[in-house]
Amino acid sequence: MPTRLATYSYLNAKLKTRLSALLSADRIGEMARAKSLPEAMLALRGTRFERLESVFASTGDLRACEAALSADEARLFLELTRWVAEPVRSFFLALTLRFEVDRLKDILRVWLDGVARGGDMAGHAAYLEREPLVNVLDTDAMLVAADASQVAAVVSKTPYGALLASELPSAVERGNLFELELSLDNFYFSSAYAAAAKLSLHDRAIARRALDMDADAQNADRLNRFVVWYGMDATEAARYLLSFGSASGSLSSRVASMAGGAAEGKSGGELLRAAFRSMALTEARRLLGGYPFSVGIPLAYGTLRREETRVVTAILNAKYYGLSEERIREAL
Amino acid sequence: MMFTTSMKLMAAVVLRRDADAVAERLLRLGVMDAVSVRDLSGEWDVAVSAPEPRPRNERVTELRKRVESFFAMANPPLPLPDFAPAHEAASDAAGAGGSNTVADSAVINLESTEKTLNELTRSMADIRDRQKAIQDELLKLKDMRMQVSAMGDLDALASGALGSKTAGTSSILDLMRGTMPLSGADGLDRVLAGIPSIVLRGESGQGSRIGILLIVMKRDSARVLDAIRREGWENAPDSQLGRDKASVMRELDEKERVLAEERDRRASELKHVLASRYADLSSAWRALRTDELTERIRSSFSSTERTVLVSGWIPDSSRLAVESELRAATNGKLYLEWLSPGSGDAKKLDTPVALSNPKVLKPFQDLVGNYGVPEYGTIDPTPFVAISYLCMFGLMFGDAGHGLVIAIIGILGIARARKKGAKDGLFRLIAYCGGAAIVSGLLFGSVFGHELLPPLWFNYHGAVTGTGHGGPVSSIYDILGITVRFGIVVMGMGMAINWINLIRKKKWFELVFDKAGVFGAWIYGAGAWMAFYFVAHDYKALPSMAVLALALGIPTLGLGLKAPLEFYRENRHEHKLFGGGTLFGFVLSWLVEVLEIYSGYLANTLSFMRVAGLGIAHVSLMTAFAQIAAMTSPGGGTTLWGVLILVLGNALVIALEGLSAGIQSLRLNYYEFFSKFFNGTGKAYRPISLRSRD
Repeated sequence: MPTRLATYSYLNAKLKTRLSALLSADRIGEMARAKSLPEAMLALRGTRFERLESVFASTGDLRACEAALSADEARLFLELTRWVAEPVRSFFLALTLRFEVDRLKDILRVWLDGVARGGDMAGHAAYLEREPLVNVLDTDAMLVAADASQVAAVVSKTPYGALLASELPSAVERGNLFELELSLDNFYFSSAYAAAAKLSLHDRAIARRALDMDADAQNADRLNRFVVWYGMDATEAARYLLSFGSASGSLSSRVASMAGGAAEGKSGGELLRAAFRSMALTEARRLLGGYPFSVGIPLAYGTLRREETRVVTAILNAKYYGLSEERIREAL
Repeated sequence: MMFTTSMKLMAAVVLRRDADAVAERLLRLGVMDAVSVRDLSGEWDVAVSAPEPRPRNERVTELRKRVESFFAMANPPLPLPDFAPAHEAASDAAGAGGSNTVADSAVINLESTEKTLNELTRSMADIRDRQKAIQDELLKLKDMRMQVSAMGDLDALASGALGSKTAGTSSILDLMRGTMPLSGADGLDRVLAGIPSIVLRGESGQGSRIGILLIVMKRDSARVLDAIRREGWENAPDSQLGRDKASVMRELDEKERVLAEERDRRASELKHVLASRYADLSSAWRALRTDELTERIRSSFSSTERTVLVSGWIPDSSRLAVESELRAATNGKLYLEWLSPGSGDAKKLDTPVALSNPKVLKPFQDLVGNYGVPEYGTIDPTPFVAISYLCMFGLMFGDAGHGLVIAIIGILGIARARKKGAKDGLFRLIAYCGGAAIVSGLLFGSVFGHELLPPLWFNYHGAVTGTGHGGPVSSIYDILGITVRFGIVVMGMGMAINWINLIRKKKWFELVFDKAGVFGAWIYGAGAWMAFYFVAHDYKALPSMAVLALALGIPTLGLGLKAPLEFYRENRHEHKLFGGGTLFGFVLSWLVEVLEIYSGYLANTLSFMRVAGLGIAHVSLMTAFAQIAAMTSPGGGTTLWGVLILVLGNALVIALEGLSAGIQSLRLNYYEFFSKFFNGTGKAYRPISLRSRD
């Protein structure tokens, strides 16, 4: 097994350089203060988000900008695999499954809306990224599939084939994808934990902690969705929690009931999400200040970059809908 | 040009009512580097007060930045507007009856400016919304394309009676075949406006009716059918129209093309909107910027109850103009005093440094500025840097062909930068380097790595490859010797500049004992002479001991006086005790100083051998590429591969060597030349003017 130094020195030097290119608080402040969306986009010139301005200028479509951002985000860990060997490479590929699973969920939602419910795709299909990540998902073939079995057949050679074959028909019958999405997310986490188990002892501890925190954040997100948006009660919502992270198991219903509360003008779910996000950022900063030759640096970089993308997306959307600077700052 | 620009410190007292006019005049002139009166003398602290910042300042700056953001949004960005030159503005003001206000731009209505900007923002949002609507249609057409492409047979789409889904039909599309009266064709277009659809029209062979194939999304099909029935639609499921899928795809292509063009037209509308408002925006920007800068000048004023105190550094050459403008602005009611640097109250202030060189030397002035700001009153090294930089570059990159390429790149870069309104300093430097390479290429007879011209000085290629016998320079050692001599000249020039600077500053002690002072230069000169003597005697003989003692012994021992004299100068009034440790300190500092001078100057001089090194590398690389190219045709002649290798080889050498030579020339100037005289402790002259960009 290569030494930690050999595994991480080049990768981490590269990432630490990239960290310096993350948007500064001044730049984010400038965006928040901008009087309109095009003015906010000007503040992104000279950054990795620069091309959003040209996408928006040519289409007037903010969703196309978000799709471009999300495509970039999905490739983050995939790009890093070029610079690492096994077992770290497999771990990064497993982390990329998260984006692939999200992409698959998006395809299934559009398909369900457009085909199974007899509606139309209303142009949503164009926003789906076609470039393969870990497995090949033939988006167009899935979207034109006549029924659930055809959809499952398209991905039969991927790890999702069996899962879709068994769960998609019942999801179509129910008219929602809640349980299937839960299964897909559980698949991602089980793959990621399995890949993390093959890492060195030191890396394993860091990776597990990061995955736990990510699972917690996703559970908070789910609770917010199910309790606040869909009006489910705490016990019902707890059924849709991931079986990973500290909020799983006996804690789930307690946490779910918290999501139903409210404080400081925000729903419990929103507060939970904000709390987990803040914990993830604190953890990322802690990792960056710690031992440099570990998987912690790429994980921290991933967290900070995801946060950066979230902030940019939030501000651009807020500008699109004409929200004030104060509202934006509150939401961030 | 020889020395830094001579400055004067202006201290003026004007009536409070004239303060704004004075600020505006000073801004128009753009020559005052403002100083707060309270910095002149602590005594003023109790008597004067600083002006209160205006609450609207932040808003002015915010609006100005907003206007600039509109300029930046245009593609390509619109240039920042210019102000009329100062003399024109002054004469405009004089023509307007000698009013105390300047031109149009000082008058500003923030509400109206903000309203204009908000209107512009709304127009832009409207354009984007229209673009978005077209984009949505386009995306829906893409969905249709995906569905149609996936269908093997278009008949599968045709349900005959809408809504009755049959096996094999698309779940999101409906296909209808029918006829319409010829007169209803316009009605069909009206119905389908804004609805994603594919329409194929047949021949009007059935009398007054025309065959139509219509594909729409299921979501829209019911309302479309209702509407087209009102226009006379009749189903014709057996029609042969559109049985061929290719014709449907062609129609789809055409529709997408038209929509994409329409979307792009909308995008270019933004450019037209911004261009059409450029005059208004420019006017607003000028007014905001003038207000902002005037306020910046005003903020440096100090005031008493009825008067305002104005002070700042002004170039001596602008003194009369400033005085005349201030008298005009105040109708002669002012008290004005000019102080020389280092005199009176000006003693406490650092005098700002301005370098004034012809435009042709601007790129070299920028190189000097990148290193630091020279001390006030010293020699401006820009002209010397220009000469030494270009000589070094030419010696390292002596090829007329390559120089021509670099000069062309520089000239194209200048044209491009000027077109974009960007700075062209770097490209001018590149063009000059190209020129230097052409001249040295002619001196060495080298063109694109070949000895195509008779050398005006010596054959560099021949000297490197060992084929250039008989000339004044025939070996690599000769080339090394040239560059070492060149280095001695450059370093000597640095020492001479140092002496002049020290004499002007009346620093007699430093003149004698500084590393680049009299003793240092004496050691360096003697050392260089000894080295040449040694080489001239086949590395076997040194000058006699008496000569050595005179040439090196005296200055070396002389440096031994430096520490004691310094000790005396610093402690003569303090009666500090002189102990054994002090003596040890003297000896130690003398040894360190002598070691630094001997080793430092040797290293500095040998450092110039890199000039030869890069020149030799240039020739060697070109020779290597020529030989590789020749290997592609062992029988002689020219092959395509040979030409390709030569072209790529030349490109590589131009890129790599050009960059290396540029960087090494800079390095030699900064570290070997500047280190002899440049301390970089000056403070840059930053007048507040309409050209200020910060």
